[in-house]
Parts: sequence; C-alpha cells; structure tokens
Amino acid sequence: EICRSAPEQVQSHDELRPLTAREKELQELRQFDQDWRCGPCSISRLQRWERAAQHGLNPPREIRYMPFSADTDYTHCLSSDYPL
Amino acid sequence: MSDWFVCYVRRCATSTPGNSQISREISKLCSFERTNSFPKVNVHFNKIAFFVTNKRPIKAAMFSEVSAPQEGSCSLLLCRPGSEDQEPSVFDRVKPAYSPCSERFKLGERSFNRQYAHIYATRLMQMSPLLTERAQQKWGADVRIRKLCDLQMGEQCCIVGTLFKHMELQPSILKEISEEHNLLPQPPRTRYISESDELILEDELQRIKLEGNIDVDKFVTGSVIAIYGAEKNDGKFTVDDFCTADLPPQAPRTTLSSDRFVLLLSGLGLGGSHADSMLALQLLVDMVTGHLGDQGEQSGASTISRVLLAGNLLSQSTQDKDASTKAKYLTKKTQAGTVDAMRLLDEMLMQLVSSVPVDVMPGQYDPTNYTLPQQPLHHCMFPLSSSYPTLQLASNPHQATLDGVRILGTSGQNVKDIQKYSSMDSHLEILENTLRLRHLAPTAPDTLGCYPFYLKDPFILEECPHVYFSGNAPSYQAKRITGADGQEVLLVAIPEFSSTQTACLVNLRTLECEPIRFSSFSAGDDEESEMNISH
Repeated sequence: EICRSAPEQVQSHDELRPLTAREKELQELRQFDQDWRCGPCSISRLQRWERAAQHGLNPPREIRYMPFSADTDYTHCLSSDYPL
Repeated sequence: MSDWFVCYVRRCATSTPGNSQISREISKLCSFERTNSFPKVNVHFNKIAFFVTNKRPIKAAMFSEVSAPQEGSCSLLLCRPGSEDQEPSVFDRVKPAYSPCSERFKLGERSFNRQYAHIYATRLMQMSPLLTERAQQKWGADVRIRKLCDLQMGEQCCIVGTLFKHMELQPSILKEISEEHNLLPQPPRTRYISESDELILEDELQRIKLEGNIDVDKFVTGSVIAIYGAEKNDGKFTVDDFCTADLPPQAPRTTLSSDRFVLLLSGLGLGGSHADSMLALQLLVDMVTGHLGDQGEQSGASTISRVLLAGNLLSQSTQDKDASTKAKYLTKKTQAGTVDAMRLLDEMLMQLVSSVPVDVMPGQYDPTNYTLPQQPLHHCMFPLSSSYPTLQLASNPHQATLDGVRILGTSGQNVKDIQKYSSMDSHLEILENTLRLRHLAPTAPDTLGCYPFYLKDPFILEECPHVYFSGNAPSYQAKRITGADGQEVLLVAIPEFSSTQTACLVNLRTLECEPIRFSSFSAGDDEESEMNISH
C-alpha cells in the first residue's frame, strides 16, 4: 500500500499552480481513505463514510456531498482497483 | 419441578371409560404409590391416553400446578358422553401483545463482493466505547487506555481489542493444499483446542500475544475484551486482569397479572429414519391445542400463549447429498428427502397454528441459507399452514417482545461452534458466556458461516433480553442470572426433541422455566419398562 502524504500544492515541472476544485476534493477523499479509525477501505467511499458517521467518528461532512455519481474516481479508493 | 408422563396403553378390547380392567393396566405400569396419583382415562379417537401427575408441593407458578386436576373433575371424564343441551366448556387462549423485532437479522439484497475485515472492524468500532467504560468502572477512571502502537515497555495500562486464538489443530485450507507439507486432509474432530493454543489481541492497527492470568481455553476468536497488564521485554503482553462488555442495559418488563406461558421447542428431526419422537410430538401438539386432558389441563393449555420452534425441524438425514453426486439417470425419479419431511412439518404446523401462534426458526439442517443470520423459511413450503396468520416464519437468530418480555435466541449453531473451539461443554455455560461477551456469535465469521456485514454487526446485543435461549442442546438446562446493573435474564438451553422428547415452558410472569417431557411406551414392552420419574 502506497503511503502518501498529501502536499499542499501539486508541483509541476515549471511552475506551482493552485489545485483545481476536483483535485482538492480527491485529495480530501484520499485523506479520508487513510484515516485508520474508519476501518478498511474495500467498500465504496460513501458506504465507508456512512459507517464512520453511524459509529460517531465524525468524518468530514463535505465528503458526503461530493459528486460521487458524476466522477468514477470519487466512488472507490485506490486499492479497489485491485481485484478481491 | 415435576414431570408429566403421558403414556399410551394398549388399546383394550372393552374401552368403556371407568372399566376396572383399564385401571389394572394402569396400575401395572405405575411403579410408584397410587395414593396421590390420578389415573384418568380420556378416549380420544383411536388412542387411549392417561395422565399421571405426581403431586409434590410446588409453587403455583409451575405449569403442572396451573393445569392440575380439580376436585371432582375425574368424574367428569369418566362419565357418559354428555347430552345435547350440555354446553361444552370452551377455554379462550390468552392473547399477549406480540411484536417481532428481528429486522436486523433480515437481509435484503445480498452482496458477497466484500471482505470479512469489515465485520471485524465494525464490531471493534461498536464495542470499543463500551469496553472503555467497563475498564474505567473496573480499574478506576484514571486507568491508562492505550492503543497497541502506543505501548510503553513495563507500563501498566489497559488495551482493548479483538481476540484471536491461534490453534495448531484448527483446520487450515492453506496447510492442506500446500505441497511442501504433504498433508492429508484432517479428519473432523469434536474439539480443536490443544495445550499449545495462544491468545493474541488485535486492535485497529496491530496485534500482540497475550500471556499470564488468562485462561486460553475459555476464550474464542472474535470476542472483544479489555485487558489490564503491561508489555514485557519479550514483546508479549502480560495479563493481570481482563473484563468483558458484560450485560447490556435492560428495559424493565411489565408485571403480568396472570400466568402466561411460552412453549420452547427445538430439534424435531422430522424425516429422519428413527420415528421415535413422532408419537411424542403428536402428544405435544394435542396437549397444546387442548385435545387432551380434563378441564384443568385444557384450561392450563390455554395459558400457553405462544409456541416457538428453535430450529432443526428437519432431521440431518434429509440433507443427503447423494443426489448431487450421482448420475442424473439414477436420480431422475427420486425426490429430495426434504420434500416429504417438509410436508410432515406443514401438516403438524397446521394443527398447531389453528390454535396457537407459532414462531418457526430455521436451524442447521433446514432448507434455508447456511450462513448466519439464517433467513426465514419460505412460505411456499407451507401451503397448508401459511394461510393462517398465526404462523410466523422467523429468522435465526430471532428476537421478539411478548407482553413486554423480550425473548432472544438462536437454533444453537453459535453455541455448538464455540464448543468446538473452547474447553466449555455445557451449552448453558456457553450461552451465559456469549451474553457476558455481549455478542451472539463471536466465532462468526472465523469458523461459523456469516454474511459479510460492513455497516453494523447485528450479533452485538444492544439490549438485554429477559429470556435468552439456544436450541438443540443435548439436554435441558435453565438458569436465572442477574447482571451488575440489576438485569434479570432467564437462560434456557432447549433440548433436542427428537432425542429427549422434552420441551420447555417459560412463565412470562415469573421468568421461570420448567421442562415438559412426553415419553411413550410401545405395545410390546410391558413388564420390562419402568416408569422413569427422574428429572
């Protein structure tokens, strides 16, 4: 499992540019994936968020309202690309 | 406690009630003194049955006392059939308020594309706060509760996590198919524990071996507990003390004004090769529906407000899997063993549901899914009885509230599995253990088949039941226990009816349980058979 620390800004080769809204959201989702208190990741992010909310772990509220249906990168975390 | 003995005698040629020949037959079979016995004869269809009650001083709450024969009732049975204008006495069955609450065990759409890690994660998530509270109650509010990754060497602290028991003898599919070991598949054993078993505690991130003041044999994988001790130099955690989540909070039950009974029954074993218990089963059905006995017994039977069947309605022999391995041309005309057995069950249930509400739970050998929670049997298998609203097809485990009394239990798979992986033998002891662990089936999903839940673990007891049972035990056992916060629970290990012919009657008013045994004698054995009056 690749353990990443999310940098504040994406370093491109020539200049530092601010992140797009989508990139910011994806970053937040990755942070949420790495939160060990919310349990394993091999379920969809929404399901994992529901579980964390139900058990009183206070996951970030913004995640709940992200456009999960619009973008396929949002629904599952990285490791779900690997088959079971 | 006193037992009922209902016996069938040989059908006498002269079957007029009150005939002295019948009394002589009866006295031959009775091996105890006759002064207190009430031989009564009730001619019912082609059977002759008599009740011999052994009257000993017992509390009024006992079912046998409630339905004790009244003064002069003997003559009522032994008199000639009544005339047309004599009103037959009709007893209305008590109708308590019933509400099933097993929604958590019903599965809607099922997805098996999930790992079992989730059920363990959610189990720990739910139980951690409870155990933290218990730990503070037991070892002081300032006890240090540490995560395994924050452990300091030598520091006395408390850790909370899921137990894993490493057992050498536990069958491992990886070992079996590994070529380097050249192992043959292990024959199934009754117990998989050994001297070399080790306990390991796992929290969200790490695991650590446990040693010290903890009895490895009494614990099973999947239990969530809190341990007090310290990590020593060798990287193992030395246990000084431990605590479980113990009994959950209990809602107070409403005190009932009159005695109401629930009949708990399990392990009917229909469709089996031995039909020993069929007669006993018919007796039970006749008794509950009020077809047997005099007015006292019939009014007693009307206090039975509900019947609960806790699994293994069909016999294990109906699960013959030969049909799947044999060639199709050999099995074309044969039908599954379960078909006839289910027909028998449906006919029996129809007799019951026409008179009393029945909850039917599936068990290990019944035609429903294998993994827990087992889904209710499908109503299409009960063409005769499903038209009655009194038939309640329930899940396993099953939970219901009857007149404010909360009843929860399983058909016994959870208890039997724990028995295989621990040193405990008594079903009642294991049942109490699961209650104190606050989990119905800790060995699920490790060694007990279970659905891959991810949101919540439905086997965690959130509310303490008043009656907690498990079915298909080898013998009848019952016990009242009291929790630390004043909870009162009646634990019942319901015996397997096909081998013991015993059912249990629970009094909802007093929360007491008594066994009721239906034994029968065949026409052949006369002098040899003795009346068994032991408990």
